[in-house]
Amino acid sequence: MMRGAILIAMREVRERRAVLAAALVAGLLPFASPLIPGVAAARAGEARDAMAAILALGLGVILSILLGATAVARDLAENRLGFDFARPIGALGIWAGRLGAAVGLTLAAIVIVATPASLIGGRISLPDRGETIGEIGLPVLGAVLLFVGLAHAASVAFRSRSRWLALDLVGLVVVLLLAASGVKRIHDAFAVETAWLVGTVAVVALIPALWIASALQVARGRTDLVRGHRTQSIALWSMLLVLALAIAGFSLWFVAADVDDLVAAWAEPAPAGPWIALDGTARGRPGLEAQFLLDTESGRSIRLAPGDLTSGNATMFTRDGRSAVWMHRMAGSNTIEVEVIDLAGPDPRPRMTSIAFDLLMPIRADLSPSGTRLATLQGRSLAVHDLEAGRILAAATLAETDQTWGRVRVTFVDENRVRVYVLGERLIAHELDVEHRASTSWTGPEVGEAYPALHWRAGHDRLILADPGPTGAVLLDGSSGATIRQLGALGAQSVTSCGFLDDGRIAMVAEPVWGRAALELLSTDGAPLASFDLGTTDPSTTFWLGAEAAPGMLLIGRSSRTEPGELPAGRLMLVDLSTGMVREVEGGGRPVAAMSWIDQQRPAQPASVAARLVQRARSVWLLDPASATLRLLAGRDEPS
Amino acid sequence: MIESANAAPVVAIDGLTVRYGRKTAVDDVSLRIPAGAVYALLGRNGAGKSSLVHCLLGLRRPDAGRVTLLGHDAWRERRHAMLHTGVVPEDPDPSPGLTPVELARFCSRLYPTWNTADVAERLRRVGVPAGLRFGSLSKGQKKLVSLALALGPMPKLLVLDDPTLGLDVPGRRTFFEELVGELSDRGTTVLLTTHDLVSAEGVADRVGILVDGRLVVDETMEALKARHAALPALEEIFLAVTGQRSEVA
Repeated sequence: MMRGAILIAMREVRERRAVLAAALVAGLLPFASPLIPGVAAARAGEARDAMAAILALGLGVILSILLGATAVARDLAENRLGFDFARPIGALGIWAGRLGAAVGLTLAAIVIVATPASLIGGRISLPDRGETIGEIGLPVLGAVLLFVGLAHAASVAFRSRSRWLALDLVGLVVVLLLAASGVKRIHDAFAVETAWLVGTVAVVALIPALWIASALQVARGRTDLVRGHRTQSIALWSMLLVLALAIAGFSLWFVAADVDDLVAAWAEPAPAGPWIALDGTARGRPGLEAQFLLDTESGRSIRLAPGDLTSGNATMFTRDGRSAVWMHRMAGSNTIEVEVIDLAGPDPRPRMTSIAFDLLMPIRADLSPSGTRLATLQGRSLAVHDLEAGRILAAATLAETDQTWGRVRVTFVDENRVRVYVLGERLIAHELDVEHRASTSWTGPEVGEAYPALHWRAGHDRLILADPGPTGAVLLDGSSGATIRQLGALGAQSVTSCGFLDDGRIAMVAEPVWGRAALELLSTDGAPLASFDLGTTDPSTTFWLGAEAAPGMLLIGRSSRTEPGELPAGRLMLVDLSTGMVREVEGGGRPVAAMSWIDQQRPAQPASVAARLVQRARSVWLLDPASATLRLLAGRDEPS
Repeated sequence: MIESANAAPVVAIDGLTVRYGRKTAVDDVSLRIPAGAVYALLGRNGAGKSSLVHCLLGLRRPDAGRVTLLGHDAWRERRHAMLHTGVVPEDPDPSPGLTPVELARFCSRLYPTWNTADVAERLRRVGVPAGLRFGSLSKGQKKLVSLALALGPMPKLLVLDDPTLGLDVPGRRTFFEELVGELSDRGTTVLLTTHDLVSAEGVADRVGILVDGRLVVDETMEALKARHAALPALEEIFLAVTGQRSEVA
């Protein structure tokens, strides 16, 4: 086969040697680029190199199509292929020789065009592809193989004018639809790199499919154009259909990740009830940020459309955990849509509302206690939407706000009042009365440069501003912003974590003595009630104050500070609020309720799932406070 | 010139059937061509000659039956069969952009038995301009170049598929003179399909006639003529056999 193929290829090259002469002429054209009006003499070299690259690529595309279309199909249609088949050359030798010559001639022409400019001092490079032979050569070779193969297949199909052309058209439509929908499905799941990879694999796989089909066309069809076309069509579309089905199947599998597939998971629990929102990465699905709602009692899960997690808006639950809302950016679109779900119903299903945002995701949002209203902050515009009707119930333009996600909070005080806390140079609260469409505001204490934590009690009559800076933790009057009491500061009493308990008391981890930590219990006005020793600390120790995993049993995590973004397992302990007795939880972790220090505060009700949820490395666990043991809900139990 | 019945036939066709959809072009044809024979395969247009020749040359896979050339399966072992087979097709099919010399050079590398001098002499003898591209040659010249290329490897079998189609009388004469010269020199086995019955009568020693895909005659020229003694020429016999003219008339 090889000898016959080489001889045929040499004959083809000889017959089409004018192509190489034309390429040589084209290769000299870039040296005339200084004569082009508007090309500065200083940039003549760049113009020459660019022109050489354009000519080389342009000629390569044109030649690969022309030569591919005529290498076999023209002689087949004009009854000249019999000459080769009357020789002692195998069918594959004829195929390889003719199409190989087309590829070789095209590549030679590209090299001839590009070489003079390269030798004189320029360097030919492909955009974003680098300049080495491998970086340029492989894509060019791939493109030539693809175009030659495509041109040959199309030429055979159109020259035969047989009824198999109908199969080609149907195959083309079906394969394109299947493959494109598969790639789009992955792309719409925001796994853009994976979509590109699948698309690239599809295009690369097209090359062997085309060449195998062409080999079969020549070997089985020989000099019979219609028979060859039939062979080509059946072979090509069989392979491409398998490929397209594989892409479609892969894409369906890709986006159909289940909770069990999560290898890294993070949770956002409902303040009450069994539901939690989960998101994370799934096994074998690079780039996919899978999102679920999980009923931790029944194990039932609802897959949500993979989201654009760069939005910063997690799923928002009502305080009773009976409904939830989230915002979803449509892939390939600037539209952000709002979806709701009634979790109390027998068959909860996400439902799209008529509320949509263009371009910008609201920087902050909150769901009203009844779950019927959504407050959003976009720029300085605060709006309260009716989720059912899709209309705006009330809106206000804030006089002062901050565009930094970590320094703004939006929260419903009750069904009719929305507050925006702005942690700028000072703490500012804006309150919008939905019913009366009136807004008020107050200005509180100074806020440091770092991201502070802001906690509020139900009704927002008391706030805790926990600033890692010199201000420390202060208890504020929620109606005026006035400071009620300094809870702690650097030096005498450093507060590392604090928050409100369900009954309104304040829990605070502090260091009353250097090197030892204590859990301080304070009254609603910040008066000391009790102090329980939590052991020794070092400068890297951090405490994470959770919620009451069981009534009167506070869950606290303790870890060493690590690099930003890491979630160390750390120790986990249950502290009896009446006796101060500490019980270690096996395995450790961090209370999820403590983790939203920069996010919206969603107070966890005592003994609720939210109060018992624990994050350990890249996995989410549920605590059984009676046995002080953890049960894996999602993710992989491995250190991060 | 016909070898003994025990010698392996150069061409052996057994139960060959070729169909195009529902139409049967060649219907259960079996024949043997012994070494050294000049076999004229005759038939009207559409009788199945070309389909048979395509199967013979391994260009088409039979729907049923088997074809062997020089002991090789024509479809599966075409490459081996073609090593000792020369072909002159109905339409000359070499690359139009190459000269006869370039074509001969290409072919010479494919056959170990290629006779360069013989091909050059033959091209010179028939007056084909060596430097002219094949596409620029006249129809007669193309046929003669094709014949020269077919005879170049000193083939054991020569397949001529209506080689004089479209040629004028002098062209046919030149072509057959070359052919007869070849046959007298080497004793090559020939399968000839043609509508030129006069020329065929002059060179063939066996005749096969296809009618609607079926081989209705397969015998020596002598036997055929003896059976149709009332008819003076092969053409008359052909017309009678194919039902275009009554033998009695």
